[in-house]
Amino acid sequence: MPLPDGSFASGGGDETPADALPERLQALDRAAWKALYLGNRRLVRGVLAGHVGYGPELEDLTQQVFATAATLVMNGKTALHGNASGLQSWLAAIAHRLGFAERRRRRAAPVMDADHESAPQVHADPIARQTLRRARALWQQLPERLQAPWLLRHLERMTIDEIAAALSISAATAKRRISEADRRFEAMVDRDPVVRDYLRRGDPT
Amino acid sequence: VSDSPDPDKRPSLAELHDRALAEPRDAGAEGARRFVAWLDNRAGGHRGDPARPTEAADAVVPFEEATSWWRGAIPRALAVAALAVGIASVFGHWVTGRSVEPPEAQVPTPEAPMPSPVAAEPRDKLGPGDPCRDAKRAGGAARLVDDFEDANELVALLEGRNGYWVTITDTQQEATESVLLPSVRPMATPSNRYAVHLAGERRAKWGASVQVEFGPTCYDASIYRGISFDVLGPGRVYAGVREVDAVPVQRGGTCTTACYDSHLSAVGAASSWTHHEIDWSDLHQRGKTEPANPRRLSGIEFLVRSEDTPYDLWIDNVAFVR
Repeated sequence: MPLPDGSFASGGGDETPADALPERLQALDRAAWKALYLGNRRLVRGVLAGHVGYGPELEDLTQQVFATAATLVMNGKTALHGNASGLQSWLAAIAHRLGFAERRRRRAAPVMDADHESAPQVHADPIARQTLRRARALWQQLPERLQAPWLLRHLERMTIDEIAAALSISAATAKRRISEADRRFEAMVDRDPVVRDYLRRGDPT
Repeated sequence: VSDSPDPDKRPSLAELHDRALAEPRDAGAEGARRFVAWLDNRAGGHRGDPARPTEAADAVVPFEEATSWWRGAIPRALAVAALAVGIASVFGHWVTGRSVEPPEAQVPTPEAPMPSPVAAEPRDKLGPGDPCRDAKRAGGAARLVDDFEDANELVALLEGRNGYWVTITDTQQEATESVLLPSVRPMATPSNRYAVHLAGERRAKWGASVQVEFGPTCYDASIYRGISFDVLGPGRVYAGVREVDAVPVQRGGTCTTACYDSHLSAVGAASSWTHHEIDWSDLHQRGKTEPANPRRLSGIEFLVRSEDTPYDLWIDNVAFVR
């Protein structure tokens, strides 16, 4: 993520001007890639978690996302240049697709896994943990085209333009999909007593 | 980390999500160290440098293991493809309604040696900066480009081909393609579950594209006579190849103006799966008559022009034909 002065913290004593980051990534500058990793690790983990939960496998999948990104650049499949702000959307898109692929790979694995137990830091309240688990299960019941817009908007707090860029759709389509996802998600929440009671008590939105 | 279970102070779903992702302070740095070690290792090999020592070789091992599904997918894909070929050979008429090529033209089994690509010819006529001086050349024995059954974005790694399926639309900037993963196809069978799905709203400019670039900058597929694929619509798609001469210089091609003009042919997509074969001689750039030059390929493209949008198409079993 950009620092207030417009540079990127690389974690190695090096600072990369935001505008130069794509070019440095393209040149396989390791400090730039490290900065990209550190600045977007949270986002990538967040997108992946929607697909696979919050378990320990998240770490390996996160590595895979960045490895895929680097491989795309190394193989000349993606050329990075211009605005550094597009990098976040690019990584979110890769994470989303890898998350989908991983879910498909685990086809038989039920959504109701033990992730709530492996993430006790979520909340001391077991109801909160169960709510998160069930909400993720509801999210996965959304049509595929609506899942990413909803997650990126409501859990990752991305802007409409960022979501549109990540999903290769127009801003209008992104808005429409978020709206439709909201409607469907609300309807599913109404049918789930745990999530419904949690969300509607104290009105946490 | 723990909060009071006071209902009035319950965090939102987004906050629960944030907390579930909370991690020890040094986890990010440790992850970055692993990634950079992997990058050092891979980038050194990529550049053709002598093996460079990694910062922490021990950190590479678990990550290599973690990503092994990627490489493991390759023999799996070959095995699935070989199985599919076997089944199709027996039940070819049931599956496609047409005869299936003899096994010699199909995908080798994982145990069989892969044909080794050899240098393209003739090099002496090519300029020193021509990307086709180092072209990979198809051997002619492994015509499959991708049947998508490995459910990943990589093409089948045969005959020196090595690339990713990506998609881009006319609302995106140049060179911002997204990786395209296969989806479970309509009318899936146990041996043919996946295909790529192209769907979208109305497009106002040039449309939408699904494409793959083969790993080498220039690919010589002249041993084949064209490409084949299955398509499901309804609609229309322009299918064909992109030559390196349509790829901008900065992306490894030779094009400086009016780039990305692929050699394509219009194909009608019916409401049931149909198989199509297109010869090189039937592929043309828009408004031109010169056929595609299979010695100078960059990749394969499926293009939906704006006049054919909105669109909802499926593509499967992309291959070369002899």
